[in-house]
Amino acid sequence: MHNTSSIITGTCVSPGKVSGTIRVYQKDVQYVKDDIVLLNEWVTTNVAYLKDAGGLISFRGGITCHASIIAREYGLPCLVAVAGGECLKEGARVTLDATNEIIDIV
Amino acid sequence: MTRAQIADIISRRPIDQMETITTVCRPAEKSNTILVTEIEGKKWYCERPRYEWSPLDRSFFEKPFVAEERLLYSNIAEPMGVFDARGLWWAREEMSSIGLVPYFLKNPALYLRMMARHTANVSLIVSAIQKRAETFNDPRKAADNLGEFIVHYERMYDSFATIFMAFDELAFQFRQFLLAHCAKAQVNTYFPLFMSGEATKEALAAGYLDSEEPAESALSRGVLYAMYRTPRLFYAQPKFFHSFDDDGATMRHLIDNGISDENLERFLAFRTIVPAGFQINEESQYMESMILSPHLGIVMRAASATLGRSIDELTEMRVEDIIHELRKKASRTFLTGIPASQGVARGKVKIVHGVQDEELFCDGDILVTRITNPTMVSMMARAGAIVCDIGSITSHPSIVSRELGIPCVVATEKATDLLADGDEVIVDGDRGTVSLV
Repeated sequence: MHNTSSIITGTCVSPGKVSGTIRVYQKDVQYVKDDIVLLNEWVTTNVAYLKDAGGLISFRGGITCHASIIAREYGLPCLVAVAGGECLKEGARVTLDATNEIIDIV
Repeated sequence: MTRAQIADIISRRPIDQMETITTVCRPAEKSNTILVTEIEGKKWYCERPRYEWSPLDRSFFEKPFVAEERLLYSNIAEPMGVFDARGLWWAREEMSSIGLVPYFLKNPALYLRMMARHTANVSLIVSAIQKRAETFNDPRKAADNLGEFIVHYERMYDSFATIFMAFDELAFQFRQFLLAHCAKAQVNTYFPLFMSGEATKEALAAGYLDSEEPAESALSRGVLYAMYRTPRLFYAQPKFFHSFDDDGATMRHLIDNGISDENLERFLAFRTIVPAGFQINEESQYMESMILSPHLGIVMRAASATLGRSIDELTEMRVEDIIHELRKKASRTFLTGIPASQGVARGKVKIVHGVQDEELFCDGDILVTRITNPTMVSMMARAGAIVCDIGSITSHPSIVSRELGIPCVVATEKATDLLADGDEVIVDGDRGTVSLV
């Protein structure tokens, strides 16, 4: 029997809903619409690579952090200070509903 | 409720009716510091952690802002707040416990003034640094320029800390306020609008913000932030917050749900100063990112060229050590002493400790020693010039060199330390200088 889908929550800093694949952030990688980028550390450079991503998730941060500013600037759904996100692994399919602060593993 | 009626509510709050305030930030010290903000004779305290100066972790070096992280951000366990090294909870908690935000909500103009004042301070610091800009490419000035940067960055981060904390706290409180009155989904749609760098008409009318528009303003600020790496300052034209539909909808929701007059006042105050605060908050950061960081980059490249080390290597060093090395190198390239015998000579340095060095001493070498003595005369006779750490115009090297007709510089203090065997130097016996070629 498959695992039931678990719910992960955080603080919404930029609203929207998107489905995509978790990609752990790497420098100088061009992200595409289907990618939901998982930020483990502060992204201070080359944020243009995040422009076309589907959404952002950060385990850390707050409503004024750099990731939040980037997300709002590019209009990407974004949750920060995400709790219970240990199961978010590279390649996992998720639905990020930032408006309602829910991440669903599909 | 119509938009006109809502606008009427807003217009009943004149923004510019407060007296001037002064803010005093104690200079950063090598320990945890208390920021003191004085408002109308009343002092507000806020704790801040020590700013980590080394390694040099500015955005130019593509490293995280250590202080910023400790200042504002947090991990999952403690969202929206920070424990400092001593385990003290601070920033948000400190600010709200002393009631700074409620105070500002009653006096929104004071908040904007305080923010604007600190931003003006950052702007002054930026122009102080810019005055030196023409020397940034000069490797000989790299040590002085880096020293200048340290002093200015220290001062700037005091203002930054105040701006960040005051704004972060305000935004957090506003979100909490909205969550108490509206559904989560509505808050999450509405609140981020405030955080998108918008400015209110009120703030603009009160002259807190500059709406001057640069040619590149087709791009928004955040995009420009990522793109430019050369020094520049710009203002993007703020979109007017009031043009958003969510604004009217949220206000309608609050009024339809019977929000009290007191809370409506608070809401309007939040709604006025959060977007303006964001704009001001960003302004100082942009000044740093767009001007100081690229300038620092130029200075660091000059330092890198002088020291023959890569930028990556330098970023691992303490900035004080970089300055020390640069100074050492600079004094090595240019020693001054007392001109004891005229003439100019060029040759390779040979450090001489005594008669035992005679075999290695070649004709025309520059004899560098603490002070010559009679056993060195045969070397002196073959030397191109003589350089001594100590001595005067009547001491042994001076008399002998005048006799021999070769240039001599004495009392350089550190020639034997700073010069090494084989260094190619020019000794100027007329001016009393030694320079590396």
